[in-house]
Amino acid sequence: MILPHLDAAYNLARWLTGHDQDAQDVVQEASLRAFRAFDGFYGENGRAWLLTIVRNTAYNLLQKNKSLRQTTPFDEELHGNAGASECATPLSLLRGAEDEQNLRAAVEALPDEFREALVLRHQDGLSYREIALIAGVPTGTVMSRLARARARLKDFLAKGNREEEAS
Amino acid sequence: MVTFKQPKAFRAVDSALSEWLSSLVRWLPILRQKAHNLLRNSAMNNCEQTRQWLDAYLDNELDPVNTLKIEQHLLACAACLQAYEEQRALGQVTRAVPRYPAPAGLRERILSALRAESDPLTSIHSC
Ligand SMILES: [Zn+2]
Repeated sequence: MILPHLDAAYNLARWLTGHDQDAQDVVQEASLRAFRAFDGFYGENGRAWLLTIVRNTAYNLLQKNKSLRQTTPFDEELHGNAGASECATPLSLLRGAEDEQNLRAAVEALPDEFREALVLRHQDGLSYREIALIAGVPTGTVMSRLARARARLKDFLAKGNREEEAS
Repeated sequence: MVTFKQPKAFRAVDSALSEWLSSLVRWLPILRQKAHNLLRNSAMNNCEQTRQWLDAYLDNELDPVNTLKIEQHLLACAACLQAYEEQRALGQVTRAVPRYPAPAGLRERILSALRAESDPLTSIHSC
Protein backbone atom coordinates (compact mmCIF):
# COMPACT_ATOMS: atom_id res chain seq x y z
CA MET A 1 0.00 0.00 0.00
CA ILE A 2 2.81 2.43 0.84
CA LEU A 3 5.99 1.29 -0.88
CA PRO A 4 4.61 1.16 -4.46
CA HIS A 5 3.72 4.84 -4.14
CA LEU A 6 6.88 5.93 -2.37
CA ASP A 7 8.18 7.86 -5.38
CA ALA A 8 4.93 9.77 -5.85
CA ALA A 9 4.77 10.41 -2.10
CA TYR A 10 8.32 11.74 -1.91
CA ASN A 11 7.93 13.84 -5.06
CA LEU A 12 4.80 15.53 -3.70
CA ALA A 13 6.36 16.07 -0.28
CA ARG A 14 9.53 17.47 -1.86
CA TRP A 15 7.58 19.95 -3.99
CA LEU A 16 5.42 21.03 -1.06
CA THR A 17 8.12 21.39 1.59
CA GLY A 18 10.92 22.54 -0.72
CA HIS A 19 13.50 20.55 1.27
CA ASP A 20 14.84 17.02 0.96
CA GLN A 21 15.08 16.29 4.69
CA ASP A 22 11.65 17.73 5.41
CA ALA A 23 10.21 15.69 2.55
CA GLN A 24 11.76 12.47 3.89
CA ASP A 25 10.39 13.18 7.36
CA VAL A 26 6.96 13.90 5.90
CA VAL A 27 6.90 10.66 3.90
CA GLN A 28 8.01 8.63 6.90
CA GLU A 29 5.43 10.19 9.19
CA ALA A 30 2.73 9.82 6.55
CA SER A 31 3.66 6.19 6.01
CA LEU A 32 3.31 5.49 9.72
CA ARG A 33 0.00 7.33 9.84
CA ALA A 34 -1.25 5.38 6.83
CA PHE A 35 -0.08 2.14 8.43
CA ARG A 36 -1.86 2.90 11.69
CA ALA A 37 -5.04 4.02 9.91
CA PHE A 38 -5.03 1.10 7.51
CA ASP A 39 -7.91 -0.66 9.28
CA GLY A 40 -9.98 2.44 8.64
CA PHE A 41 -9.29 2.42 4.92
CA TYR A 42 -12.19 1.12 2.87
CA GLY A 43 -11.56 2.96 -0.38
CA GLU A 44 -10.19 1.49 -3.56
CA ASN A 45 -7.66 4.17 -4.41
CA GLY A 46 -4.65 3.50 -2.21
CA ARG A 47 -2.45 5.98 -4.01
CA ALA A 48 -4.87 8.89 -3.61
CA TRP A 49 -5.37 7.92 0.02
CA LEU A 50 -1.64 7.86 0.78
CA LEU A 51 -1.03 11.11 -1.11
CA THR A 52 -3.81 12.76 0.91
CA ILE A 53 -2.00 11.82 4.10
CA VAL A 54 1.33 12.99 2.66
CA ARG A 55 -0.22 16.31 1.67
CA ASN A 56 -1.81 16.89 5.08
CA THR A 57 1.40 15.93 6.87
CA ALA A 58 3.38 18.31 4.67
CA TYR A 59 0.99 21.18 5.35
CA ASN A 60 1.16 20.48 9.09
CA LEU A 61 4.92 20.74 8.91
CA LEU A 62 4.75 23.93 6.85
CA GLN A 63 2.35 25.37 9.41
CA LYS A 64 4.78 24.50 12.20
CA ASN A 65 7.69 26.08 10.33
CA LYS A 66 5.71 29.16 9.42
CA SER A 67 7.07 31.13 12.36
CA LEU A 68 10.63 30.14 11.46
CA ARG A 69 10.47 30.80 7.74
CA GLN A 70 9.09 34.12 6.70
CA THR A 71 6.27 33.54 4.22
CA THR A 72 4.56 36.38 2.41
CA PRO A 73 1.06 36.08 0.96
CA PHE A 74 0.92 35.90 -2.82
CA ASP A 75 0.40 39.32 -4.34
CA GLU A 76 -1.44 39.42 -7.68
CA GLU A 77 -0.28 42.99 -8.27
CA LEU A 78 3.38 42.13 -7.87
CA HIS A 79 3.44 38.75 -9.57
CA GLY A 80 0.64 39.16 -12.08
CA ASN A 81 2.88 40.02 -15.07
CA ALA A 82 -0.07 41.50 -16.92
CA GLY A 83 0.21 41.12 -20.67
CA ALA A 84 3.23 38.83 -20.63
CA SER A 85 1.28 35.90 -22.04
CA GLU A 86 0.64 37.87 -25.22
CA CYS A 87 4.24 37.32 -26.25
CA ALA A 88 4.34 33.63 -25.44
CA THR A 89 4.53 31.50 -28.55
CA PRO A 90 4.91 27.72 -28.27
CA LEU A 91 8.46 28.04 -29.56
CA SER A 92 9.54 30.62 -27.03
CA LEU A 93 7.93 28.58 -24.26
CA LEU A 94 9.93 25.52 -25.21
CA ARG A 95 13.06 27.62 -25.35
CA GLY A 96 12.45 28.83 -21.80
CA ALA A 97 11.86 25.27 -20.68
CA GLU A 98 15.18 23.97 -21.97
CA ASP A 99 16.77 25.04 -18.75
CA GLU A 100 15.76 22.58 -16.02
CA GLN A 101 16.65 25.00 -13.27
CA ASN A 102 14.48 27.64 -14.83
CA LEU A 103 11.56 25.22 -15.04
CA ARG A 104 11.92 24.13 -11.44
CA ALA A 105 12.09 27.74 -10.32
CA ALA A 106 8.92 28.48 -12.29
CA VAL A 107 7.04 25.70 -10.52
CA GLU A 108 8.49 26.61 -7.13
CA ALA A 109 7.26 30.17 -7.57
CA LEU A 110 3.66 28.95 -7.76
CA PRO A 111 1.37 29.15 -4.71
CA ASP A 112 1.14 25.80 -2.85
CA GLU A 113 -2.31 24.81 -4.05
CA PHE A 114 -1.43 25.50 -7.68
CA ARG A 115 1.88 23.67 -7.39
CA GLU A 116 0.33 20.56 -5.84
CA ALA A 117 -2.34 20.38 -8.56
CA LEU A 118 0.29 20.73 -11.28
CA VAL A 119 2.62 18.15 -9.77
CA LEU A 120 -0.15 15.61 -9.19
CA ARG A 121 -1.57 16.12 -12.67
CA HIS A 122 1.58 16.22 -14.77
CA GLN A 123 4.08 14.18 -12.81
CA ASP A 124 1.84 11.47 -11.46
CA GLY A 125 -0.93 11.62 -14.05
CA LEU A 126 -3.72 11.82 -11.48
CA SER A 127 -7.25 12.61 -12.66
CA TYR A 128 -9.09 15.79 -11.69
CA ARG A 129 -11.24 13.65 -9.41
CA GLU A 130 -8.26 12.16 -7.60
CA ILE A 131 -6.66 15.58 -7.16
CA ALA A 132 -9.96 16.93 -5.86
CA LEU A 133 -10.07 14.09 -3.36
CA ILE A 134 -6.52 14.75 -2.18
CA ALA A 135 -6.86 18.53 -1.93
CA GLY A 136 -10.38 18.32 -0.48
CA VAL A 137 -11.94 20.64 -3.07
CA PRO A 138 -14.51 20.20 -5.89
CA THR A 139 -13.20 19.09 -9.32
CA GLY A 140 -14.16 22.49 -10.74
CA THR A 141 -11.68 24.08 -8.36
CA VAL A 142 -8.98 21.66 -9.49
CA MET A 143 -9.69 22.65 -13.08
CA SER A 144 -9.40 26.36 -12.38
CA ARG A 145 -6.29 25.91 -10.22
CA LEU A 146 -4.61 24.00 -13.03
CA ALA A 147 -5.61 26.64 -15.57
CA ARG A 148 -4.23 29.41 -13.38
CA ALA A 149 -1.09 27.46 -12.58
CA ARG A 150 -0.43 26.98 -16.28
CA ALA A 151 -1.09 30.63 -17.03
CA ARG A 152 1.40 31.65 -14.31
CA LEU A 153 3.96 29.22 -15.64
CA LYS A 154 3.53 30.60 -19.13
CA ASP A 155 4.00 34.16 -17.88
CA PHE A 156 7.05 33.15 -15.85
CA LEU A 157 8.74 31.48 -18.81
CA ALA A 158 7.81 34.30 -21.19
CA LYS A 159 9.26 36.82 -18.75
CA GLY A 160 12.48 34.82 -18.45
CA ASN A 161 12.82 34.81 -22.22
CA ARG A 162 12.25 38.53 -22.51
CA GLU A 163 14.90 39.25 -19.90
CA GLU A 164 17.30 36.95 -21.69
CA GLU A 165 16.70 38.72 -24.97
CA ALA A 166 17.05 42.13 -23.36
CA SER A 167 20.42 41.36 -21.80
CA MET B 1 -69.91 16.25 -58.04
CA VAL B 2 -66.42 15.52 -56.99
CA THR B 3 -65.06 16.02 -60.47
CA PHE B 4 -66.85 19.36 -60.67
CA LYS B 5 -65.24 20.75 -57.49
CA GLN B 6 -61.71 19.56 -58.15
CA PRO B 7 -60.55 22.35 -60.42
CA LYS B 8 -61.73 24.91 -57.89
CA ALA B 9 -59.75 23.16 -55.13
CA PHE B 10 -56.74 23.10 -57.38
CA ARG B 11 -57.07 26.80 -58.02
CA ALA B 12 -57.24 27.45 -54.30
CA VAL B 13 -54.14 25.38 -53.66
CA ASP B 14 -52.40 27.02 -56.56
CA SER B 15 -53.06 30.54 -55.35
CA ALA B 16 -52.12 29.66 -51.78
CA LEU B 17 -48.89 28.15 -53.02
CA SER B 18 -47.96 31.12 -55.14
CA GLU B 19 -48.79 33.45 -52.28
CA TRP B 20 -46.58 31.41 -49.98
CA LEU B 21 -43.80 31.40 -52.54
CA SER B 22 -43.92 35.13 -53.06
CA SER B 23 -43.86 35.74 -49.30
CA LEU B 24 -40.93 33.37 -49.05
CA VAL B 25 -39.09 35.34 -51.71
CA ARG B 26 -39.81 38.52 -49.77
CA TRP B 27 -38.64 37.00 -46.47
CA LEU B 28 -35.67 35.13 -47.86
CA PRO B 29 -33.04 37.88 -47.47
CA ILE B 30 -34.22 38.54 -43.90
CA LEU B 31 -34.17 34.83 -43.06
CA ARG B 32 -30.73 34.56 -44.58
CA GLN B 33 -29.47 37.45 -42.48
CA LYS B 34 -30.98 35.92 -39.35
CA ALA B 35 -29.38 32.54 -40.04
CA HIS B 36 -26.07 34.26 -40.69
CA ASN B 37 -26.22 36.15 -37.37
CA LEU B 38 -27.19 33.00 -35.53
CA LEU B 39 -24.22 31.11 -36.97
CA ARG B 40 -21.82 33.93 -36.19
CA ASN B 41 -23.08 34.23 -32.62
CA SER B 42 -22.84 30.51 -32.03
CA ALA B 43 -19.32 30.53 -33.46
CA MET B 44 -18.42 33.26 -30.96
CA ASN B 45 -19.97 31.28 -28.13
CA ASN B 46 -18.06 28.25 -29.34
CA CYS B 47 -14.78 30.17 -29.14
CA GLU B 48 -15.47 31.17 -25.58
CA GLN B 49 -16.51 27.65 -24.64
CA THR B 50 -13.60 26.08 -26.50
CA ARG B 51 -11.07 28.22 -24.62
CA GLN B 52 -12.77 27.36 -21.37
CA TRP B 53 -12.66 23.61 -22.00
CA LEU B 54 -9.26 23.51 -23.72
CA ASP B 55 -7.35 22.42 -20.61
CA ALA B 56 -9.83 19.70 -19.76
CA TYR B 57 -9.75 18.56 -23.38
CA LEU B 58 -5.95 18.34 -23.34
CA ASP B 59 -6.12 16.52 -20.01
CA ASN B 60 -8.54 13.95 -21.42
CA GLU B 61 -11.06 14.98 -18.80
CA LEU B 62 -13.84 16.07 -21.14
CA ASP B 63 -16.93 13.98 -21.89
CA PRO B 64 -17.27 12.60 -25.45
CA VAL B 65 -19.98 15.06 -26.53
CA ASN B 66 -17.97 18.16 -25.60
CA THR B 67 -14.80 16.55 -26.93
CA LEU B 68 -16.45 16.24 -30.33
CA LYS B 69 -17.75 19.81 -30.15
CA ILE B 70 -14.26 21.12 -29.44
CA GLU B 71 -12.67 19.04 -32.17
CA GLN B 72 -15.20 20.26 -34.71
CA HIS B 73 -14.60 23.83 -33.64
CA LEU B 74 -10.81 23.48 -33.82
CA LEU B 75 -11.12 22.30 -37.41
CA ALA B 76 -13.08 25.43 -38.28
CA CYS B 77 -11.42 28.15 -36.16
CA ALA B 78 -7.79 29.16 -36.72
CA ALA B 79 -7.61 31.35 -33.60
CA CYS B 80 -8.73 28.56 -31.30
CA LEU B 81 -6.44 26.11 -33.07
CA GLN B 82 -3.53 28.40 -32.27
CA ALA B 83 -4.62 28.64 -28.65
CA TYR B 84 -4.77 24.86 -28.62
CA GLU B 85 -1.22 24.54 -30.01
CA GLU B 86 0.04 27.00 -27.42
CA GLN B 87 -1.65 25.16 -24.59
CA ARG B 88 -0.35 21.84 -25.88
CA ALA B 89 3.21 23.20 -25.95
CA LEU B 90 2.72 24.42 -22.40
CA GLY B 91 1.57 20.92 -21.44
CA GLN B 92 4.81 19.51 -22.86
CA VAL B 93 6.76 22.06 -20.87
CA THR B 94 4.90 21.16 -17.68
CA ARG B 95 5.52 17.48 -18.19
CA ALA B 96 9.21 18.26 -18.67
CA VAL B 97 9.49 19.63 -15.12
CA PRO B 98 11.88 17.15 -13.51
CA ARG B 99 10.58 14.92 -10.71
CA TYR B 100 12.37 14.48 -7.45
CA PRO B 101 13.22 10.79 -7.18
CA ALA B 102 12.99 9.27 -3.71
CA PRO B 103 16.47 9.08 -2.12
CA ALA B 104 18.02 5.61 -1.98
CA GLY B 105 17.82 5.28 1.80
CA LEU B 106 14.20 6.34 2.19
CA ARG B 107 12.63 2.96 1.43
CA GLU B 108 14.80 1.22 4.03
CA ARG B 109 14.23 3.99 6.55
CA ILE B 110 10.45 3.66 6.19
CA LEU B 111 10.55 -0.12 6.23
CA SER B 112 12.44 -0.15 9.51
CA ALA B 113 10.09 2.47 10.98
CA LEU B 114 7.14 0.31 9.96
CA ARG B 115 8.85 -2.78 11.35
CA ALA B 116 9.42 -1.06 14.68
CA GLU B 117 5.78 0.03 14.66
CA SER B 118 4.48 -3.47 14.01
CA ASP B 119 6.94 -5.27 16.30
CA PRO B 120 4.32 -6.50 18.77
CA LEU B 121 2.33 -7.93 15.83
CA THR B 122 5.25 -9.70 14.18
CA SER B 123 6.27 -11.27 17.44
CA ILE B 124 2.82 -12.84 17.68
CA HIS B 125 2.73 -14.13 14.10
CA SER B 126 6.48 -14.59 14.02
CA CYS B 127 7.55 -16.11 10.73
ZN1 LIG C 1 -12.78 29.70 -32.05
